[in-house]
Amino acid sequence: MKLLSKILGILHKFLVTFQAVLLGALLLMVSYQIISRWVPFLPRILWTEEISRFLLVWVIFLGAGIGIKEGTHFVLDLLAYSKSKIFNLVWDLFVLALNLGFTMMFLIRGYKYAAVLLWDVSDIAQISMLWVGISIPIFGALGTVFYLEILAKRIAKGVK
Amino acid sequence: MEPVFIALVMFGLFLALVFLRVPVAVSLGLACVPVILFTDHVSLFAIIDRSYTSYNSFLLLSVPFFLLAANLMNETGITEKLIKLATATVGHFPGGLGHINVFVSMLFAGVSGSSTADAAGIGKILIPAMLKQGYERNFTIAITATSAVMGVIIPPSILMLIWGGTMSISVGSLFLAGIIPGILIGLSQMATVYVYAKKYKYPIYERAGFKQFVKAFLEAAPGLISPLVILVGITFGIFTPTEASAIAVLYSLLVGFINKTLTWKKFLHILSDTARLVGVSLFCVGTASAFSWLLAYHQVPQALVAMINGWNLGPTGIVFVIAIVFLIVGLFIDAIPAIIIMGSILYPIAQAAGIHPIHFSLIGVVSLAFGLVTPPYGMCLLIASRIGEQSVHKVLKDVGIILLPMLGILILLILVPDIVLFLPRLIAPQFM
Amino acid sequence: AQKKTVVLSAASMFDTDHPFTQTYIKFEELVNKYQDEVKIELKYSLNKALGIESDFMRFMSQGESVDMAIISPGHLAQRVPNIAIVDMPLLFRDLAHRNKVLESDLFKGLEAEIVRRANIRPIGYAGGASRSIISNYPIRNMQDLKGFRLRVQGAPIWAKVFTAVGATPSVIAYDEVYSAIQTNVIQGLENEKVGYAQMRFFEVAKYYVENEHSITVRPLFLSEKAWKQFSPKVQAAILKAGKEAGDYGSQFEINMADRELKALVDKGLTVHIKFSDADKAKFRELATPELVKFVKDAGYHDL
Ligand code: NA
Ligand code: NA
Repeated sequence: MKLLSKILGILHKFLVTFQAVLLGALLLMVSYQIISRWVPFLPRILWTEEISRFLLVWVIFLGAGIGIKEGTHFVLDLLAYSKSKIFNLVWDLFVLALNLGFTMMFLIRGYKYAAVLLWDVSDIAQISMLWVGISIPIFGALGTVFYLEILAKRIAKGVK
Repeated sequence: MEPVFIALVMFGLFLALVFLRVPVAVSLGLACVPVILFTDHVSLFAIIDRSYTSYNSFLLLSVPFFLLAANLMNETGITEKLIKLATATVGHFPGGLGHINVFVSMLFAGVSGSSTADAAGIGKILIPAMLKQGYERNFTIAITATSAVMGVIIPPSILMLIWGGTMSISVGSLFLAGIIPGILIGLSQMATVYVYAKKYKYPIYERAGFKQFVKAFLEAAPGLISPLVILVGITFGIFTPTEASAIAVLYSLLVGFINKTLTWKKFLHILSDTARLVGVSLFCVGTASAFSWLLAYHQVPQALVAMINGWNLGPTGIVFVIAIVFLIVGLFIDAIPAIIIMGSILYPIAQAAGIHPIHFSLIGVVSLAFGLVTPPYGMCLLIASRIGEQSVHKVLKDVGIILLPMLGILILLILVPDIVLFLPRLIAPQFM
Repeated sequence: AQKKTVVLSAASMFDTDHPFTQTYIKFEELVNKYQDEVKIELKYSLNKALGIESDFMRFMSQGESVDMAIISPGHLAQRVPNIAIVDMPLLFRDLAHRNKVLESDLFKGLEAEIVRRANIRPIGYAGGASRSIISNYPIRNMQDLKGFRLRVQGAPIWAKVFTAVGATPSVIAYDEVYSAIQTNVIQGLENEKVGYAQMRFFEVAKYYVENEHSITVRPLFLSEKAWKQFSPKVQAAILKAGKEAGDYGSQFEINMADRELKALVDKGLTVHIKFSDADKAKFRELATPELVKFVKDAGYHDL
């Protein structure tokens, strides 16, 4: 369990760095698109618009995965917790099960979705759309793993 | 299945899930599942597809960039300079920090296109400061959240960009149209602060001398130039409104590196923070798009339109209905998918009633901006509450009090379209 | 006995008056006339309610949510790269040539490929309108086209052709085109008359420069899943109705296009410029090397 936690910690760190790099690339790409329009000797690249959209898809899905690990997805605490600790445990487990169902839907259906994209080629850059679509099941997998970790921790905590 | 029944099931489930403490983004997605399972012709494929496709949009790119620009301003001291300028300008009014909070949001709104970044950036500095000076916690959070809504009303604005893009309405005119309503809302909030300050005897700052004011103004100038760069760039066709958001980032970077308040290490840090925020906040757009798509599949919007047309209202009545629809929709879903679905449904109704497109758009944007602070899904409220370490529901009473005069402004804007149309007619008549 | 009713969901980005919707309506009428085995009923989702054309493509391909839609062939290029040829500028000499090609064996091969790869079936062809240049300054001849900054469609061949004729193409999202022209980031685009009127591009680009660099093909697709549920007899009726509805839609669009453009010109909102035959020929001449290269790469020779 501890080892697993450690591995997930490293994974999280990697994801955070990778995601920041993607946003940086996005910024460079759109900046170049503007600058190349006004500086005559810079070649215009037609695929900047397309690739920047694809990068955004990745930034969002990875960010959503990271958000699960960091617990930053918006939750409204409109109902107060109960005094019964068993009730609260059941409640938390129920909510976690729902969340897990959600991420597993993205993992399984997202995998099917991405598999179809394998044969699709992007309009401008002519890359396989799998490169974009694979971000969906990756989010699903990350979310599932991170929710399982949260679930394990919650069970370990029990009614304490 | 009947549209009304579908709508009740989906909204009901969504609310139930949110109350259970399922994350909002997840709730929107899960609320679709039962209806999908009972609809022959639709499968879970739709949820995946709508989320993925909604992210794959050039218009959405303005969101990370405006957030990044705003975060850079927050981290490189531009925001602090704006707060100093606000202090020198309105700090001596009763309830000084409250006025500063509102006024700096106005300044910040002129520089940034996002309300959430405003709530986060200004909230981080002013919420602790106000608490320290003895302001009541709920009021502090409420005024921070509500003043942040000016971010999308005063130009530049992410919402106007997406509105103009999806409905072929001039973004430049929309930007101009937002200035006066934004200022009016700011003034109404300052009036509210004044009343609070008198009632609870909140502290004031000494009046700044002219010299101090000039100094504060000059220091804040680099930040204040940024909206000029954006507006001039868009007006002269150097870049598109979406690209303007990237320019805002480059400009903030430039200021940061010249002032030496920004290092590469810090920049990478900000980049990462922004990327994570973008992930969490835009992820909601995806599931909300799936949610609204499913409503559209079951022809809920048409049912709504038929209902509205059945009432035989005049133009003013229609604008009121439009405002109410956006106010209600804004309670539950993010403004961007709300625009994409409801905007294009309501636009023909507005056109048929002879309502000016800019008037219609601005009423829509302002009404949706209210949604940023109304529960259950109000991003600014959530962010400010998180910074102020308070449960959302405890803040609601004060939010309601501040919203009342703002609602008055909204009604005024509905009744007197000229307030909205004055500036665009004056400055950009060719687009009207 | 009671006839079975089959509901097909038809999607469009446009309103009831648009030629595409009119094509669907015609189809619904005809398909029930040509067979009496089942009652086919269309459920209309208009005005982008279910998304944009590329979304309809994926839904039909998946066999859910949308059964029927008219789609610009460019949206299929991701899945059926050869379709790009249909969407190529200057492909057809005139409407008659276009209609002849659509009925050729060569085209039957392409149709089979679409069914196989995209899981959707073309049952008729709407479109038939010409695409021309829209700009915010008068372009009267090839000379005026020099340096014209315009938005082109994503497929690379469009950028190549417009570069070859001396313009400066750039790719900008369709949703941003209006703003981009207004702010002079670009000076125009290329589009059909109906698009020009419906997207209100005339507000920012007053000149409709009729150079007719392309004649559109807008196939009416039925999802393969929907297709397979019908008996051969009904399928035959669907093909017959689809073809006639497509032709009806083409004629409707051509009439509507001229009517709408004329209305704009009469109101003084648009200046209608027509390219001379010499300039059209010059356009074709400059673009030809790129087109030949493109066609060779795609492996087609006998168009
Ligand atoms: Na703003
Ligand atoms: Na809300």
